[in-house]
Amino acid sequence: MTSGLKNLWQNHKLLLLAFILAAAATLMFAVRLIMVTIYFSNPAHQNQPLEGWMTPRYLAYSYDLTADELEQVLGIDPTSVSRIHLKNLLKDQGITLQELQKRLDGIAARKAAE
Amino acid sequence: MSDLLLSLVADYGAIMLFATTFLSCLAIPMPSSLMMLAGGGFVASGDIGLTSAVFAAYLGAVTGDQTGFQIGRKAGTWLARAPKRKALLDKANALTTRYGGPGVFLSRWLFSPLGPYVNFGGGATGYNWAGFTLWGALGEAVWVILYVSLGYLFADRITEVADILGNASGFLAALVITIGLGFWLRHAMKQPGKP
Repeated sequence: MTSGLKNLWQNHKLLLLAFILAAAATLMFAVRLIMVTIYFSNPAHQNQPLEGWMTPRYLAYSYDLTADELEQVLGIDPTSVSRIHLKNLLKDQGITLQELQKRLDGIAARKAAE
Repeated sequence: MSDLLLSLVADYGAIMLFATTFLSCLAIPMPSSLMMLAGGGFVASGDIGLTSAVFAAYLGAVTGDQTGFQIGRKAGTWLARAPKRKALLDKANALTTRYGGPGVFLSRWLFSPLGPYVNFGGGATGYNWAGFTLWGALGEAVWVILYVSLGYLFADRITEVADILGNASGFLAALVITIGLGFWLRHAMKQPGKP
């Protein structure tokens, strides 16, 4: 076996290195896959944080908001806009994503209390 | 980067999906899986129509594959000018003729990180065009429908799903390469002294 390895190293250095590299990459992806799966199977990590690319409708869908609630958090009539993402919309309104997140959390808390 | 691209999906919808799947078939790094998941998410929220999302992503993928294949074919003709390289290409061609169809099909969706290289390689080794087109079109249909559906179903957490799927397909692609190199090594071990 050792002589086989030695022979491989002498005659097929590149092939052997490529094999080791590929095996290491396989192992790395396996570990990462297990880690993200464990992380996201924890219910506390399942809420997708607010991001600038989301549209008002996406926000409503994701956070389970009614049209009224959406209007309340965004300060505009949601039916008047389609396919505009939050980053631009919030810039026009002069509010930040954090501020919006706070409003959403407020609505969620109120809903939980009811 | 992906935040910007996702904003563009929100703004331009289907056209952006077409562009991403097209470019990703040419080995240009695009978060195409995440974009298709987002496409499915935007279908769920009502921002994009289902037909246009699926059709645009599919059309981009199929034309991207064809472009990659033609680039590979041109490069192959150029490479084959040297006799030594031609012998190597002929050897590779024997391999693609044997495993080509299922290889093209599976590299569209299950081992998707390998897809663009299969396009170039298939063209370069002179793999049969009709076979490539048929298996490729079938595989891309699986890829697009799978990812858009997952985006639709998990619309409220697409970035997580993208994370899991990205690592899963990376794992599978790396595993296939490792196994392939392993067979090559075993073959090489049986022929001691040959470079």
